Amino acid sequence: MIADHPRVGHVTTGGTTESIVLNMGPQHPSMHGVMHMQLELSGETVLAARPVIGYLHRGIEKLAEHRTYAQCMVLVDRLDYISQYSNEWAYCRAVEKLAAIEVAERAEWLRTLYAELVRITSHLLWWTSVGLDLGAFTPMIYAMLPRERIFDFFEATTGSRLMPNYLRFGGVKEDVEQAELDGIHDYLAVDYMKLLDDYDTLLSGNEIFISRQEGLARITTEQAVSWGVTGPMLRATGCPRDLRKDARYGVYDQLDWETQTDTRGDALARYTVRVKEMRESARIAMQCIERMPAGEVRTKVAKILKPPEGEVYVRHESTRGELGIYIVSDGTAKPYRFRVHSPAFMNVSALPHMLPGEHIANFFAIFGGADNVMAEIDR
Amino acid sequence: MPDLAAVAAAHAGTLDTSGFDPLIVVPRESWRQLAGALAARGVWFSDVTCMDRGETLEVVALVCASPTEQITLKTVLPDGYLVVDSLWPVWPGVDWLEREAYDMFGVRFTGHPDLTRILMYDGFEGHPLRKGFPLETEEEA
Repeated sequence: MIADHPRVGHVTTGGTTESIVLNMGPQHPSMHGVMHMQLELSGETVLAARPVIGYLHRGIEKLAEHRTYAQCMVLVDRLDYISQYSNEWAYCRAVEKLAAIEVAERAEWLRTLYAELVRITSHLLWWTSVGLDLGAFTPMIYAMLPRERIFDFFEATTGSRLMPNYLRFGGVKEDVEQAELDGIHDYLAVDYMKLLDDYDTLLSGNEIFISRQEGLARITTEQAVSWGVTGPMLRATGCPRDLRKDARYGVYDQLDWETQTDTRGDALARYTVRVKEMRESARIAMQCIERMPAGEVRTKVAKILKPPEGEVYVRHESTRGELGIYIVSDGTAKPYRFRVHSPAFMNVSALPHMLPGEHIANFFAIFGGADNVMAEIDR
Repeated sequence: MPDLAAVAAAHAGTLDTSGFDPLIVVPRESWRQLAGALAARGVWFSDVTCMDRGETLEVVALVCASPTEQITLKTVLPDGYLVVDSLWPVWPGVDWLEREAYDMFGVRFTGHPDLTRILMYDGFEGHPLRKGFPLETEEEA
């Protein structure tokens, strides 16, 4: 038995068959990062699931209390390390709201562009692993191509593939070369779109792949909201909640794009939403490059920032859902309280509700659909 | 947005609208009732966390009345008696958030189905996000 006391998702067998507890992870090769999943099984059916997390806990919230606001930027990079620009942007939005900092107009366009490019790279990595989880090895190799091309673009401007430390309060660190912008635009418009078509024939239209995902772990919008699930997982239940549309930050309201949803609520719907978002994000990124105005990319902000006393909570549509940054300032140069509300944390906390009743062989199809990043869950 | 002044008054609380989001502070006894009253008006939760204020500890719930309208709920606990009703019966999704608040701050949420450590390991002593918890021990330094 997983635990002595009852918990949600726990089902007693009631029959004569004895259940067994299977430990998956934290070193299991198909686990996504260092996560430990305890599964209570009756034969091949999951009775209860208990994710055990914390293996990657670095105490980022505690560390942030001992650093100045500008120094915290490198910490937020290391939250969800495959959608770094989203984290940085969420953090910048919180501090800028708290300290009433104006953002340079061109920087808003650049931030939107980078956030969408990183959403593409993040979804590409998810796409590789979702195939791998179900035994398809080829996607992993294929999707690395566009990912590396976009990383080249990141590297050309920020000097780093993964840990950019690019955003600054009031703007971004520095401007991007026009040639680089044109290069990534042309790549997205032609090669990338062609690759996405290839990917659809590889996985999305693959009969085996579809039958492995269809009807798995079906959830409703009400369930998703009550568990705190956000992002593509929520949109896969037909709920069009997307802070990029609702909260209107960045330049999203000036661009032509649609929130991607799917009404089926199962693993296949979660797959479909993310695949559609890979196209839509490319559309947004291309429009940003086409319409970006010239000008300064940074406003003048004090080197040692001391926001006035107060508190702010900003929710941001990160790749995995609503990333919340809660900052309490006591008027000094360091945050008094720095809180990260992680979307992946909430999405994984819903797994004990979603897994019972499913077959063990389908575990990774459901788990992969949560698209978790342990660094952000454990912080 | 529901009528927050009325909701706050009905739960012996105060409403403060001077910050970015309206803030309702209620005594510990009406913490869950406040959440229940807001949930009945269509409010959903985003986050539950805590903040160490030295002599006292604030339990904070960040909730949403619409995608853009946020409300901050707080209750203040004296350092010696960190016990408050769990919001789990109102919003089941706060399960892990309250576990984390217990792990990091030592607040005991009564009525929570499984109040165990979540990020730290089971035998860990202390609550790392309390201000009195050192960033590094002498051996580490």
